Amino acid sequence: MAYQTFNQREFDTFSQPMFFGETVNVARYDQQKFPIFEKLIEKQLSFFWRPEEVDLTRDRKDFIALPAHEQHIFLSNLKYQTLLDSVQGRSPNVALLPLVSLPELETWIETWAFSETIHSRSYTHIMRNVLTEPGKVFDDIVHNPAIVERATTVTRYYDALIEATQRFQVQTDEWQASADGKKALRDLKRKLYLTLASVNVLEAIRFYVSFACSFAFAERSRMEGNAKIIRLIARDEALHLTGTQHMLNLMARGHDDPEMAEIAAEERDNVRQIFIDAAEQEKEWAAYLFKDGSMIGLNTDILAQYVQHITDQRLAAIDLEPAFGSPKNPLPWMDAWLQSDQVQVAPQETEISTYLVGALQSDVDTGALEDFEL
Amino acid sequence: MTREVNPNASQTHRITLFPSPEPVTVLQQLEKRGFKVPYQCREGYCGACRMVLMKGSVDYVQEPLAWCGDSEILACSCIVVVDATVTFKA
Repeated sequence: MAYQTFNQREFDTFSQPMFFGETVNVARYDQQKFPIFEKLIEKQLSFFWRPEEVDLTRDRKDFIALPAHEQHIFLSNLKYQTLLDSVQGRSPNVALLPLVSLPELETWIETWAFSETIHSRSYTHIMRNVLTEPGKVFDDIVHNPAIVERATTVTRYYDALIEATQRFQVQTDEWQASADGKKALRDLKRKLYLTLASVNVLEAIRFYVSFACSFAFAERSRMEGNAKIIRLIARDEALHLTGTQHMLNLMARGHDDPEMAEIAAEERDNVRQIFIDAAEQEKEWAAYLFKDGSMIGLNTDILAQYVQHITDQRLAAIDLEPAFGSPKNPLPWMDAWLQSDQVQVAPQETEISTYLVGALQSDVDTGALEDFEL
Repeated sequence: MTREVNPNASQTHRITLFPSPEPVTVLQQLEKRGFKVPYQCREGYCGACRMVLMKGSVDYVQEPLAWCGDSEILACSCIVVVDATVTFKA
């Protein structure tokens, strides 16, 4: 059956799985099978921001003053972030919308991908402000072997799913109902499950490695406008990875399609291996970043330990065994950068990301009022 | 004989917390007791402070958006109602 933009059959919303059921018809949210996805939409909309709100004039001066090896770290990191959001700005729509069966999830996917396009536009905003010739940096994303290798691994599950979906959807109803069709559908479901795992790796591990690099500069009061943008991006990504964890957990725990629960059980080891392979790749990436020298507060070893820490945390979130012995977070300052109420929106505060840090003590100890008399 | 401890490895802690007269979250209670519990957003959507509730009960002061399994809680978003034993890595 081909994809239908407005499915005219009548069906019960609550009997539909997240994917591979009836294609969505009325975009209605009065009856929701999984209301969490609408809550994520609301939160994402409340996070709305525009790259132009952040002033980057100081970053240009900072960048020029950076030693060559730190310019390499900064630009390579930015190229990697650009690649990741180029993928995420389109792929959830292209891969998941033809398969989705719940209006709230369909709209979450669209909202999620839209926010990634804001991230992509913000990288251009950063490069325009920091560099005289941003074009060269963008061009290098498809030429640089270290980046291209990453592009291959972040897209292969998406591409396999999209191709298989296209093949499946041009088949007749009769074929789809046959034994071969059912086998093909199960294979398609498996591809979707692995794609979601690989997306979760992208959002929940790969992005966080790049955030650590961006924030490491700002920890030394360098490239603070950039860090301000990355902090907004990180806030969005925390929401996106939560959305994907919900999908994976709903499937694996049998709250959705029973066949998906079987597939999730069969693929446990493969999914865990996708996380481990990505962690190893991110460690190699760290070595590439610091090939000409480390920076204060961050080097290959520390970033590698952070990769292991975050990977084990993400594995635990989808009920998989940690792979690296759950090391502690070697970058405790990351927590402060990732905290939601530290994100500021007032224009006068956006220039300097350290504006709020240490400026306000919100806890009041009653002892402080002991000598107070009316 | 002393066992060699990897200083980089996190330890699993099992702690019992009590209802507090002030609206203090489970995460804040644990921080007051000196535990460096992993956290990120502190608003219930990232899931970094997810931990297991072994006994007791908690109430949510803000609705959590992050995934929570059957026996799990998000420490940043709930307060203790009945003496609560939690386990977490830190």
